[in-house]
Amino acid sequence: MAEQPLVDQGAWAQDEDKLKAVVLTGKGSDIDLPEDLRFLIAVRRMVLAREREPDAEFDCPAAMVLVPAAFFEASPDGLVRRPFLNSGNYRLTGQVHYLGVAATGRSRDYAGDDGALLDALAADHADILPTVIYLPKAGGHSKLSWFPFGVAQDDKVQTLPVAPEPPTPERIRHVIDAVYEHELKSPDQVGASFSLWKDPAKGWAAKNAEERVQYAVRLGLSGRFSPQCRIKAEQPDKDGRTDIEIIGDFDVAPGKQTNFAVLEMKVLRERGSTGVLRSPAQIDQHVRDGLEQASTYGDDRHFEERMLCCFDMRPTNTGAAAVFAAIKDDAETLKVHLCLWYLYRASDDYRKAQVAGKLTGG
Amino acid sequence: MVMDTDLRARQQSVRVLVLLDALARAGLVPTPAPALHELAYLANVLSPVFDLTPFDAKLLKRATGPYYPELQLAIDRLVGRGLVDAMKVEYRYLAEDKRYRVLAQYRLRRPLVRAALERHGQVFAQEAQFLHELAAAYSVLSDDKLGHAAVQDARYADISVDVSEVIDFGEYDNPAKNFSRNAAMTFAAGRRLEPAERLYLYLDHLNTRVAHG
Repeated sequence: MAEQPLVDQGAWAQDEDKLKAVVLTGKGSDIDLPEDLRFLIAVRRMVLAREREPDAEFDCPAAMVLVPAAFFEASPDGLVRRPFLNSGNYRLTGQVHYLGVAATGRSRDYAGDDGALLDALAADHADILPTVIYLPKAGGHSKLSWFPFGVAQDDKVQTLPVAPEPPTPERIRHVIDAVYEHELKSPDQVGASFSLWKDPAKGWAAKNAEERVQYAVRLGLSGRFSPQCRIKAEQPDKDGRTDIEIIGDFDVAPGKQTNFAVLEMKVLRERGSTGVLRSPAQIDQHVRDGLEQASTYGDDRHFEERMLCCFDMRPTNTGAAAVFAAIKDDAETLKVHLCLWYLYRASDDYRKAQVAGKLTGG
Repeated sequence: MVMDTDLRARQQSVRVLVLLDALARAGLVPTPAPALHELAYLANVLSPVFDLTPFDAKLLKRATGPYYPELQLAIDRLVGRGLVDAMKVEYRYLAEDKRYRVLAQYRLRRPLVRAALERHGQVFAQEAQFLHELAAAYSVLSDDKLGHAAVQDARYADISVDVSEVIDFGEYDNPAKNFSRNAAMTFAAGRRLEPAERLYLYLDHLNTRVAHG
């Protein structure tokens, strides 16, 4: 699609400079993400906007519930449409907010303690819908409790900070650790349609394993950093196509964006989806290619941090020191962070590795 | 010709269902008729932002905002068929039109249209996504501005077309005269934005213009 604006803005021609210099909000930047994640990001953005105001309330919790269209069509009594809820100018606490994916919808007050809030959700048959409970605390200590299956299933809750966190390499690595633990570590964690393996027993990797890893990591990074950052994938330029970029360009003055980090993702596979064997030399070259890509993208596109993230699908977990031995010095010189995660072929392999680690004191 | 007319009528009916669904997702339900017509207009002028073809690239400019007689006919048919509920029905004299019109608020009878909407979402996924995002962006307007904001729209408000004349942004005239699209593409010069981002920025700016008259 052509991005170059045409010249005539009609009745808005006088506003051309304002349009060009608009401050980006992030709204609509994430429509390729799953709906519940988009909702979580929109809620976090909304809460951040409110907490930035000097008159922000920190008195009691609020609930933000992702509801389907049918809920609004037969909505409970007393709900009021709140078109300016996202502006940051209005109270969020002490209320139940029933919202669509972009965090617009209807609200009402609830009276009483935390139990009353949960009772209100149950009374509205909303306790099985994806919900964020906002737990405000002054001084940047507010939290969001995310119930992806509703507050009725409180064993699935995740807690997120409201305050934005700069995406440092440590935090990025921490996010990928979590994605790895929950989704990538062994084939049993995901359905066949999303598996990284064509045939795990034979060690055949899926053809699009790298793409699937990239998607899972991108979702994780979006959940953590999206309120203030744009998480982009596959951005083309003269030097090639980056895997993941983390760019801070929301709520900042035009031209003041920060290119936080570029991530180059590499899947190290002994056998591809057709079973063809790859030699150790080929895999070493693949790792070196990743180092060079991360470095070049980082330099050319002015990223503060560059990371090479490798996911090792080979039969033996030799560890980061062995995998990166040939490039370690160059990576230090080029200021590329090296990270490795090992992907097990079966839960049984993982269990055996855990036990062996314990027995050898590892 | 009869076939074409029938097809167009069916397309209008589907368009109404999809618009009402998008508005409901954004919490704008029941939807006042002027808001439904206004969203239809905004969908037409802004669809090129999503690389979609406008459903209708011309309309008669009215002082009070967009109104599509064909769309209203489709709404009335859907009400008659029991697929859409009409609420708060009024029969009001509109000075601009010099005639009485039925004004109502509308709501889908979802159990009856769910399958059709799901099928439409599968076949026309990009159009459905565009309308969902547009309706979400549109929902930043306060109740009193719903249906009355487009008079500040970049294309609608352009003085090159007088009231009671036809606004054409691609039907017979040059699509470059779609000033709304042009304005949406002007945001954040030199930056690569997602098409949906431009919708939210456009509606935010429209809202600001309406607030300041």
